[in-house]
Amino acid sequence: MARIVFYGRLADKMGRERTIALGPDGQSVQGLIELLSGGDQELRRSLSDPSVKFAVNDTVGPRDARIGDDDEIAVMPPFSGG
Amino acid sequence: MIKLSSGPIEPGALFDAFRRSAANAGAVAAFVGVVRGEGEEGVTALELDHAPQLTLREIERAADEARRRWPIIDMAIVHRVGRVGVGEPVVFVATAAEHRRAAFQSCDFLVDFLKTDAPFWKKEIGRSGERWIEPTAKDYADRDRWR
Repeated sequence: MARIVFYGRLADKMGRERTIALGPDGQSVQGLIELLSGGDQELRRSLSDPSVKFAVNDTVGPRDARIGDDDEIAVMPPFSGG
Repeated sequence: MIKLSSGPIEPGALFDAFRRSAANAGAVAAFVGVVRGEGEEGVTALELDHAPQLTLREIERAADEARRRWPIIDMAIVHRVGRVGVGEPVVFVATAAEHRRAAFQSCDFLVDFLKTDAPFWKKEIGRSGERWIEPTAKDYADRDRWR
C-alpha cells in the first residue's frame, strides 16, 4: 500500500494520511489523482491544478512519474512560509 | 544552522550566538519575520504546517544556492512550525560575510525563498474563523528577482 500524505488546505479536506493500493504495475501521479478523486470532479480539478505539487519519497517529480505500493507520496498545495 | 522550531524563538539570543559563531565576519545581516495582526479580520495566530524531511531538505537546498551565489561565511535560519501568536517571531534569518552587500543580498534571497518556495503552509486563525494563505503576486515577483 502506498502512503499518501496531504498538507495545508488539502490536509483539511482529505485528512493527513491515507493508504491506497496502486496495483502490481504501480500508477502515474495522474493515475493516483484519478484513484483519490473517485469520480468527485471538484476534487479531481483541485488535485490536478498545476499549483499542486507531488513529492515521491521526498522528491518533487513530474506528473508522469511512476509510483508503487512502497512509495510515500506528499500532496502539496502552493507553499506559503515566513 | 538550519532549524525548525515548534516552540518560541528568541531572535536576540539567536543573533548573539550567530555573532559569536561568525566572529571573523565584517558584515552581519539579520531578518526577523513577525506575525501581523490583520486589523479588521481579527487574526490572533498563524498555524504553520510543514513536511518535516522535505521542508528541511528544501531549505538546505536554498542555503546551498545562497552559498554558491555569495561569499557567505555563515548563516542561520530558524523557522517556527505549529501555532504562532500575533506579535511572535515566525522566522529568523542571519547571514555573515566579509562585506555588507553579500550579507544583505543573501539574507534577502533566503527570506524570499522561505516565503514562496519552502514547503510551509500557513493558516490564519482569527476571531471570525480560519483561512489558508497562499503567496501573493508580489511574493512571487519578489522571488523572481533572483532568477
